[in-house]
Amino acid sequence: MDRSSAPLTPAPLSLRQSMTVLHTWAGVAVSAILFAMFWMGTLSVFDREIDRWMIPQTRLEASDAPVSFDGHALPAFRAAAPDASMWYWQPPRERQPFGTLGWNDPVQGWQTRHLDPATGTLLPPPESLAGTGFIFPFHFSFHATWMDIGYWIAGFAAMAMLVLIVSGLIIHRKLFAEFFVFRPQKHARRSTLDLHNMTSLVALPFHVILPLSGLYIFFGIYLPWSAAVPFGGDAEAMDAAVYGSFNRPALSSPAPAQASIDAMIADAEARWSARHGIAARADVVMVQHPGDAAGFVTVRRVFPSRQVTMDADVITYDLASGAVLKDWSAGPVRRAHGWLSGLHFIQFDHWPLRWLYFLAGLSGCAMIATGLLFWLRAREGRHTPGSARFRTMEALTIGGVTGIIAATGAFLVANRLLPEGAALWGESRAGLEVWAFWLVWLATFLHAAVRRAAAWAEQCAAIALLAMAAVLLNAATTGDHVLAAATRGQWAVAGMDLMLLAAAGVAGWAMLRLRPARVAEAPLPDPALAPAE
Amino acid sequence: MSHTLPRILLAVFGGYACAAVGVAAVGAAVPGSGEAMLLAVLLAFPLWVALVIWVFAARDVRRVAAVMAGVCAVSALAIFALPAGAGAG
Amino acid sequence: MSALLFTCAVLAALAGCACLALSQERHWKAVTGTAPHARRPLRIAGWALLTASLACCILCERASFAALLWPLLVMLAALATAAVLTWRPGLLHPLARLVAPKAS
Repeated sequence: MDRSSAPLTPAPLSLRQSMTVLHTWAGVAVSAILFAMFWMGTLSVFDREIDRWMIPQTRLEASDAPVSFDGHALPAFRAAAPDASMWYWQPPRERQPFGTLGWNDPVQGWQTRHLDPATGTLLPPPESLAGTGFIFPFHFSFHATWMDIGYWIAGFAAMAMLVLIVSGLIIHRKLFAEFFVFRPQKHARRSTLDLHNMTSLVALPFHVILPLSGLYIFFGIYLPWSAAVPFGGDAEAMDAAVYGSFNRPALSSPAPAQASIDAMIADAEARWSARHGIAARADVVMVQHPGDAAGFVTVRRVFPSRQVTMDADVITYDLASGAVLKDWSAGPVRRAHGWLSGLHFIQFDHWPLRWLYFLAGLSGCAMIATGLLFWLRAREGRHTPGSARFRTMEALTIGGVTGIIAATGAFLVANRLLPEGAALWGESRAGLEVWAFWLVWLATFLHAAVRRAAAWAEQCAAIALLAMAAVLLNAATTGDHVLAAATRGQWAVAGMDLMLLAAAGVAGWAMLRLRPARVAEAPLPDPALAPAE
Repeated sequence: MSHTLPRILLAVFGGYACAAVGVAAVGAAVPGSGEAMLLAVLLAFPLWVALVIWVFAARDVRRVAAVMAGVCAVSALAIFALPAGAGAG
Repeated sequence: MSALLFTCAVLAALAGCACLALSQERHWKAVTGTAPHARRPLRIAGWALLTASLACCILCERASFAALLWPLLVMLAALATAAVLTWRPGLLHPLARLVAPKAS
């Protein structure tokens, strides 16, 4: 067609076509980021169990020994953190068989130590960030905290995810007809699309509610000015109204006395139990300006064990007298927000649900990976196979999927290989583990750039080897192989080893399926134009 | 697609503006309470997603842009007219 | 949480998804090799079983947990059904025979 007879304006796209454009653009922009979020998020379901595996000193037996703030935490704080302006305490709970102390040291910054309830003494400082310190924060900030940029990237990706879901539904149209369809015997592109559609549909409520609730959790970061408008722009007032926080400056004069903090905790729990008709526990206690006349104690009920709604009860007491300064419980809309946040954090005690979340997260990972794979195969037809553009897209896809999984394996292996007290070039042992993660991840991108389509199978092999190495190293360095751990009641460790073995199995199976020869040259099914077969 | 970039910009930045100003307007209408503002937040994100779909589905993106500009203008007026909002401006 | 009610919720979800799958022509053919039969009863049974699963969830949990548990149980059941249909469709043969004894 020569230029003179070409239409002046392009024909308008149908809804399905415009949604295909949107779905493709949004997918290309954020799929690697989304996969990272879904991968780390899925692992975060068991972040405390990963902590057990990576920090062997915390493999404590569940103890019924009572742990009191005044009896155990207070002496420990006075000894370790006399100059801190804030003390933070978490008593032991179901998935955490120790108490946690935190404080802001004026010189060294935030410190964390664990308290063994059986002995009442502090454990040595944890030398790993592990699940709760690395994997979980990676999920929502990528550890990019400069100007909260990581949070903004995560928020953008979450919005894109919602747009991807809606546009995907419009493209696919028939929700029901292909609900159970998976045809692995067909050529790779068809079976990839089958799997992409299925993993999206079967967990559709999950894929919608999780990104949305993630946005709700950080609404204060995404809409800071808007949220403060009802309070005349005062962000601290917003915090006080929405999160029940309380603040007053220190008086720089010593406190005349100090009331029993255990009594404050008991009083808070009694009030909440009466208010809600359920046995309530305080799970976070913060002492601010300890030893000061204006010191105060904030007792929070952040993660109830038998409720979804989180962070809906806060009581603040005067440190010197024990008088109640603020008794806050969430209003109805804030409770709804708390329910939505709680279903994202899943810190309640419900193991079947926890495992179902894990499965749903994995289905999300499969959804994103198959979407990327399908798109990559489509581009392969349209670009010359050796073009730099295609090779870049291919490398980014491979590194973004198998690469980050391999990097996680390297993180675990480094955790078992690095000796205690290891340090190098100013990095602590915990920092060196994180370096292992980032360096291996970078290497997977370079590997994919060089090896191209063969990198898929090779990185799957690497994942299988790293997973098996992790299991062997755990047995070698801690003696807690699966049987020993199970006998000792260390189900977190045994479970982790079994999951690593399962991961090695899946990676091995994937390695066989992802050999380049399997990618056939069959015609590409265009989801926007052709009806479903 | 030559007209994809304006749509992307409208969806991302225009949508954010509508969400931010809309939530602020609700907040200005019910000062001192986080409940109304939070309700607006809970509605803002799904509405923003719907807006993004509309931006890409619409034949004429200028109509969508006009609606979004209108939402922002009305909300901004509300914020500066209402007493609570005046303190925030 | 009642283990029995939870088990019922899981089984009802599995049975419901199996019925819904069999109500579709391609899956019925894959399982029995015959023309589709009893599509409407299967569809009604499928939805009824999924509703029963929801009821079990509500009975054995607080409502706020049931709202999370049920969609995820349906997900599990759907994945299991898809796996069976892909690799062992014969496992659903007894269910097909139950619905249409003469057909298979």
